[in-house]
Amino acid sequence: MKSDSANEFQPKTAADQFFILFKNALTSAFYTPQEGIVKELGYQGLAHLHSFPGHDGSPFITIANYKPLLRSRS
Amino acid sequence: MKVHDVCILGSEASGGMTANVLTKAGLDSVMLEAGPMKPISQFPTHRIRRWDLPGRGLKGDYFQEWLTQTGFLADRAKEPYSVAGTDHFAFWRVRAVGGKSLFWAEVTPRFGPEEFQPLDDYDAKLTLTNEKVAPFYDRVEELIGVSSTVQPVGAFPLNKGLTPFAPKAAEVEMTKACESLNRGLKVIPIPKGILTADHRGRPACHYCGPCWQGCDSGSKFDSLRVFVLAVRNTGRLDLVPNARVRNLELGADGKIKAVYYFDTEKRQWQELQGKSFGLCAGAIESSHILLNSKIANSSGLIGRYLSEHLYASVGGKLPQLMGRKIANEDGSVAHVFIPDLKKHWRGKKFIRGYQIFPTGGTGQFTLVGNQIPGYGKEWMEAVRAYSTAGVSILFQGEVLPNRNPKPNENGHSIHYLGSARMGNDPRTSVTNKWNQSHDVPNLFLNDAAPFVTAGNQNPTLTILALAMRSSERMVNLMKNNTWKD
Repeated sequence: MKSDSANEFQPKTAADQFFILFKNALTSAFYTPQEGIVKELGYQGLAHLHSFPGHDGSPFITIANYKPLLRSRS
Repeated sequence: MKVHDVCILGSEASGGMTANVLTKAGLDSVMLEAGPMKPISQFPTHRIRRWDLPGRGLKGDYFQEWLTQTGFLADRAKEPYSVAGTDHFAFWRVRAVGGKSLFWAEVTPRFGPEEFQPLDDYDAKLTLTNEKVAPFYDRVEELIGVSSTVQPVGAFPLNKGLTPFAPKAAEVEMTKACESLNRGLKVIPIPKGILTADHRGRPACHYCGPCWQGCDSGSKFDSLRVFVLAVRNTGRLDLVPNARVRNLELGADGKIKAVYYFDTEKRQWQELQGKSFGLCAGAIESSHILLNSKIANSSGLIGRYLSEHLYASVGGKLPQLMGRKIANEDGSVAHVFIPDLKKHWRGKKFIRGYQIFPTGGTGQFTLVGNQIPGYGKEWMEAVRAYSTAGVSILFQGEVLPNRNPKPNENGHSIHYLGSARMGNDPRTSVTNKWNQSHDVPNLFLNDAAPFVTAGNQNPTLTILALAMRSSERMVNLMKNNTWKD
């Protein structure tokens, strides 16, 4: 897996291409049903609220050692 | 046969407002609606969860498909538009009492001075001014309940609304980012036809999220709850659902005397007679009825100069929003917007204005995992962190009216206006500045058909204001037994 994922943003071999295909399928399969959205990511919407709290103005606590990870495939 | 004081064709926002004004003045009215009376229990408000849909709603327009299957929307396959050549018309036609107001996105900005009287020299202008319409805006906002913009921005006017929506965390960050550009991007609370406090017997919003799917509590304005049902209880409005109008017929005196329609329940042609007629079927459908009737078209402009809105959107992630505590941030879709983007942002080839809707939050879907390197536990943690960081920006701009309308590449905008334009000269316009036909004095086009420009603002509030204005004049004319001031 480690070697397959090494080139996922610059695929060179058929194995690299398969890794991308598999990962895309897995991402959309897992993060679009209730299992992924509600149970894994904790989505709480489609519920009634007495009031909408809005943002209280306090600074956000971002995750430790944040690194900009997002990349695009060419 | 009974002769009604007024026949109202269409039950969407303008039809509801027309019925409201006329019946309060004591006039006996009848309202025809092409679709059925759908019980509020059938609204899809909380019922559509995208993950339960075939393909999880990722293919095509899941909501349009759902509305078509449940009979709210005209089926494009069974009831297509007739088009010339390669034209692609796919405008929404809601077939239910309340019309498109049942499923509108509830954004209610006023037109500013430049939308009534554009500063460029492209095409004609509305024969109205902001000052003339402002008192009607005030009254419509009080009547339907609109959230406040808090402050005016440039030429964009201040409204008279309820408590503004509280911004979401993502919107606070987007506001900071926009304003730091120093390019005149002023983010303000969005004006919406949704109650942020109890108002006129309707409850405040419960922030369930999908406002466009209909509102079961009636916190969002729709013509069915705010006008039609209330007006029907007065006993002065006969509501006729399932009435597909074919044409209007002129009498020997040059005034319309009857409307002919097909009752889709009884499977019979029917006739109704009236002293005056309010056409409120939605701009395109109203023009359709007039062309079928071969009336009110001495200018040859019915069906011409349709205008609409153009949309573009982008999405992204804000690093400062990553890994936040999960909360219910659906609210009421966007809670802020950037109005009046004319002076600072338009280029030389972009002569009219546009609006921007920046929003974000912990949305339902995130496919961001495709862009995060790696796999396994760390990858899943990164996806979780990014799931709170999503933001999007929607742009809405005016499509200039064209004598030969060409819908945009999707075949539709949710906002379509014009096709029976307003003006002082009967040779170059269909109605006068009071939405009254130049040719047929007892015909009033109270929907968006008389609009000369689309503006860049969402049009429903302006439609309601002009319908109120036109209907009050109808009352005065009828009380004085005349069709002229």
